[in-house]
Amino acid sequence: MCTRPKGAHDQSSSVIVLAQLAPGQRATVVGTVPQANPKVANRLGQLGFRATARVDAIRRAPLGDPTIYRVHDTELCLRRREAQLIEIVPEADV
Amino acid sequence: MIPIHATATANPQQLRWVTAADRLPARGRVRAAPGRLGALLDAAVIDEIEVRTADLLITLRADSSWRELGDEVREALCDALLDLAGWRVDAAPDDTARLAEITADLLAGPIGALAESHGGSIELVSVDGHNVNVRLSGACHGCPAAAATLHDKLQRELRRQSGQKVTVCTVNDSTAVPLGKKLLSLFVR
Amino acid sequence: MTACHDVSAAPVAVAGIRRVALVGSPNAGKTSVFNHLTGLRAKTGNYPGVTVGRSVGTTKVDGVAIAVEDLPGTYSLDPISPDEQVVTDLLTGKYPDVDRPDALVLVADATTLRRSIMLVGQVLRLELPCLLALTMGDELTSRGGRIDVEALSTALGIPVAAVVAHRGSGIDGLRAQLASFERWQRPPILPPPGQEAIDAWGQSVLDAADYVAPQPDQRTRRIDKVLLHPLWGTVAFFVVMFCFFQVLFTIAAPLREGISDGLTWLGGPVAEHVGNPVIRGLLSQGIIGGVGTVLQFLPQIVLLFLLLALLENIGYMSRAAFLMDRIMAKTGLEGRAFVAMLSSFACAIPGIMATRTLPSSRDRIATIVSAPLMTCSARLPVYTLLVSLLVAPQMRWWGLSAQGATMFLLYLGGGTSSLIAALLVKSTILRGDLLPFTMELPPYRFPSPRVVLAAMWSAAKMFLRKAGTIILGTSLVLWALLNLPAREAQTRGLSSTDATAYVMNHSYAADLGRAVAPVFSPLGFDWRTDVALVGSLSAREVFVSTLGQVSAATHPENPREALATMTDDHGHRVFTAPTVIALMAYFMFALQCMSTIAVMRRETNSWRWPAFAFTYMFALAWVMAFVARSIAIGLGA
Repeated sequence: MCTRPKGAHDQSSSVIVLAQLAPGQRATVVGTVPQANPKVANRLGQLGFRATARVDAIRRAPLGDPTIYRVHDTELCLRRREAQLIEIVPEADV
Repeated sequence: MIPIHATATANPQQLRWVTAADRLPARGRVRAAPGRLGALLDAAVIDEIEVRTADLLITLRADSSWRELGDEVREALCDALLDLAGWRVDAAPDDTARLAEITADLLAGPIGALAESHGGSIELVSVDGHNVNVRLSGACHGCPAAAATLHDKLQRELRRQSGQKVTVCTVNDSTAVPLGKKLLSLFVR
Repeated sequence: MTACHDVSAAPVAVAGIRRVALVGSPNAGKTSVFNHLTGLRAKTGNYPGVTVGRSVGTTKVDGVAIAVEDLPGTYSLDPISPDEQVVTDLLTGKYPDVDRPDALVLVADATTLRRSIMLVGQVLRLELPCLLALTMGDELTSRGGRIDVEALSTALGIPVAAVVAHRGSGIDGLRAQLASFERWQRPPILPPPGQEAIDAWGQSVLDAADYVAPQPDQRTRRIDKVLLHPLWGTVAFFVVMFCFFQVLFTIAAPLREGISDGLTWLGGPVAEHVGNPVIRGLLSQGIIGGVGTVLQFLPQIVLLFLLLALLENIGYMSRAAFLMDRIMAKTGLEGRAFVAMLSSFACAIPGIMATRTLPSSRDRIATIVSAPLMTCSARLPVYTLLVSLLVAPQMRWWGLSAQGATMFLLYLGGGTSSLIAALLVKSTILRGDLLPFTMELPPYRFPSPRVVLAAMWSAAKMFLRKAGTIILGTSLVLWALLNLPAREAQTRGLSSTDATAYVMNHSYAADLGRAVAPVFSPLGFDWRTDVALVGSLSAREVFVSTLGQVSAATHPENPREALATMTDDHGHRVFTAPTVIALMAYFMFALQCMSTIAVMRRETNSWRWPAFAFTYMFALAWVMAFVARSIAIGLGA
């Protein structure tokens, strides 16, 4: 990735995966984990989880999985298995 | 990657490359550019590159086609735009006059006609850098919808034709007109 | 990344009809545009060789017919599953036996343009004439967004038409453009390849179009607070599913009976006017009965698809799938399979048809071959009879009616075995593909009546045309097996019940029953039971009446008395407790339903999967019946 995420906190130590983002929190996508299958990573990017995209965790299902995320004006749900493949930098609580 | 896209112009050898104004070098005709783009320019594969306020015009040599060279030129351009210091541009002449001319043409033509069809009129007050000041009068004055439509249309056309990020400002009529004239206009409606 | 530069950019020049295909992501309003363009004349089927659904219709522009194809919704032309590969291959001209379309209409939702601009970029690289139909423009503005359609068209280099799908505005303009796709504006150069580059390109294009993204939909947010609430949402879900199920069971049932009665009534005059008893039987029972068998499923199918379309178009279906996904994931399937499984509790046929909503063909097939194990309503008459033979009505187990408890256990057995079967199938022969589970939750919208009606109509049409013929055919064959040879000489002078019994016991089916008797005798079934099994291949409930007729019961519809005392050739009682238990187990697992097989054939586009389902279920039924019987004997029943 050659772009600097605009306005993101530039601390690489705060990069976590999307699965760790709690409902109600917001983050900026950095990319996908290196060990992710390239086709799956590509598809996640196509759905909106690309570098510099803003993602909100909205809610989890009553049974714990999947979780609804809001990215690029769409709400979609991902299972934990896929949410673990997306790297994010969470935004500080407002 | 730099957000950039290309649209067609009247000349099939020429494309308008649109990107954010702050990514562009100084306005004018390009003499030299860094990297591959510069090489293409020097080899005369690219005939001409003109930098405007909000876009670049790149014209290819007559016997080459955008179909073949499109990807190459795009890549070269994106790389070159990352190194703004490496560009050598002949500065463009002051184009306030040009902008005034374009505005006058539009007001005499389609925009003016539109205003008249609503029972009002629009005139050019002044051009100041990228700001074009106009005055609305007649039925247009005081009608927010008409004012908004005229404003948007004029601004859009000016931007398209001049290639600059023009802003249209409407000068308020009532502050300029003295009380007497206003009273008179009540009788002479 | 698809390398498309080896495909000629010239449209397929044929002296035939010109073909336009609709491309776009799911939920973009593509189907609505398709329905507006083609009306109800669309034909649905499958692409050759796969289970991927295909919809083609025609529209007329200035008297010239143009074929319009609604491609399956895709998020990307980089395929990640076999289904998506079909679309990509089709668009690049690599799909065998199907021509590449001549032009494309991209359908994109204006409210999610920041995401779908990526697909636009990919599609433009195909170098086909393209037109962008922008839907939901009204929603964009009402949610505080904005777009300059002309500027977008200039930036993209292709024509852009604003369409408000549910109102139908802009459709006529769109249709008029379809005739002249050779003259559509083409982009001067193609968008760059690669996801990052297209992203940058798309950003630039949307900036040039003054695109302002809409705010999140407030109404949806308010509704979701309730419908996706951990407690209230779950309650609401059960209420919706209960209503859904009730409609299928209680509203469809009287309609079904109405059809059945209507046809019986029709059989009356036929019986009077035709002299020859064989022809009479053929007409009234074989043909009219067969047609009745087909038509009786229509109320359920139409109602199911009405409800499915309503829930889907309102936007609730994805929320229901969201709530159920964790449970369904344990069987290797996903949330959207829940509806198919639930419907199968009423009848597997609409349940199997409902699997169309699943994006993965492996999930679809796994659901299709395991859904028939769900205890469907046709098993009910069989279970009722068997339970009455086994358990005395007054018996009580811990205060509960023993008969009721047994029925419940049978229902539970069916349900659990279905889920286990799905799990086994998905973990062995249909092991998962890469396709990650993702599901969009669109905003709640008013359903378009046109789309809902079109969904109902196309489902009914397809069922009648494709499955109906198979069902009718097998009904006739089974009628012939059970009622021929006519044996007029031997039955003259006998009462009608005795005559029927005689004919049936000496029919071809009886020969068949005697022939397969060795297979079923370890289970305790005698040859007459086997005849009834053959007869009930058409439908499970037929088992009861066939058994009644074979045993010359005075009331064939309720032959309990006759069966309880029925003896075999050696004078032993046939329906002993172990045998009845074996029969119960058999019916829990066996695929005794030609209609289900016919629909399986239609939905999987081959005979392979129905054959597999029939075989594995038969083997399972036989084994379980044997085990159940052995246990029963061992326990001294």
